[in-house]
Amino acid sequence: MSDIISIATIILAGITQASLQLGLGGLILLYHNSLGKHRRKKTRYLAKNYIIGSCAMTFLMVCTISFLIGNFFDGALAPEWLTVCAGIFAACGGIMCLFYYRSGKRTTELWLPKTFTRFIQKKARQTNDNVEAFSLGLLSSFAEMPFSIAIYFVVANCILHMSGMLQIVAAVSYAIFTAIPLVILKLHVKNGRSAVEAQKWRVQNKAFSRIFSGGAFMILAMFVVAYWVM
Amino acid sequence: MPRKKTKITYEYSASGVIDSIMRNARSIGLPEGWAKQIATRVAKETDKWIEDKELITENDLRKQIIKELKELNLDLAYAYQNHDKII
Repeated sequence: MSDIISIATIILAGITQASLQLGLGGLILLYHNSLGKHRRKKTRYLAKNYIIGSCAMTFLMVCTISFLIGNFFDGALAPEWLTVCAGIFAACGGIMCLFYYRSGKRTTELWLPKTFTRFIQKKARQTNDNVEAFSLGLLSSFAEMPFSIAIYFVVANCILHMSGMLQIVAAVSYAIFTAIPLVILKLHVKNGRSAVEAQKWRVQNKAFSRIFSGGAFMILAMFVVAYWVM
Repeated sequence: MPRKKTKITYEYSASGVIDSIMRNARSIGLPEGWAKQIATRVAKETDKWIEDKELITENDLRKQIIKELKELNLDLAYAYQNHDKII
């Protein structure tokens, strides 16, 4: 399999993971709470650390799963396992389109256990220093795991097919790529807009983001089947 | 098995209302003086509304504050109403 197919799969997987909404919601929550009690400069540092935390978790997960595949799957996932991943993507695509957001409400609440959302809200409210913001970023990225675990397996498999130094570059690039929506939000707030405006945009375009995420998962499923299984 | 709900009562305070409005106002970048005016005015209206009531829920108070805020600043009302409904 050529490096180009691996890079294309990684980019598509990055777009799919970037379309997940929990990390973005966590950052908006952090902005909202932090701007209410801290100076803008401190909030900027907190947001930066949140984004670094989110990237770090993605990078660590990709590295860990690459290690697991390297040691327990003989260096590459068998087509059967990739078919399972494609099946999970297709299921995630369906779930995204139908159940990702709580229905009938003009909010962006996700179908997560209430205790868990309360925990993230509490942590976002209590975040006062950079380490807490970093760990909140780690936590929110980790919480996306039910949707992103299969993506990590496919990405790790692609990375293992690459040559030498390109593997590290690909893992780092993937981690940065998944944080693009967070960086866009940070720039948006830096340019004098409020997090509430971003939240309003999210509410207005809820259907679009649902279809975009669902479509990205479906396309990723087809891509994996077409280029890695067949 | 249904979970037992805990009933905790708090004393109403106008300063609590002002603080919560100010926090939301800062988060949307409203100038401090303007935010203070809005918060004080809403707290005054809420004081009047609560006068003849013995016991109210936190939700009732929230709804009343949102109603007042909607007349003064829509963005602030939106932030106050939705800050816990982001994820």
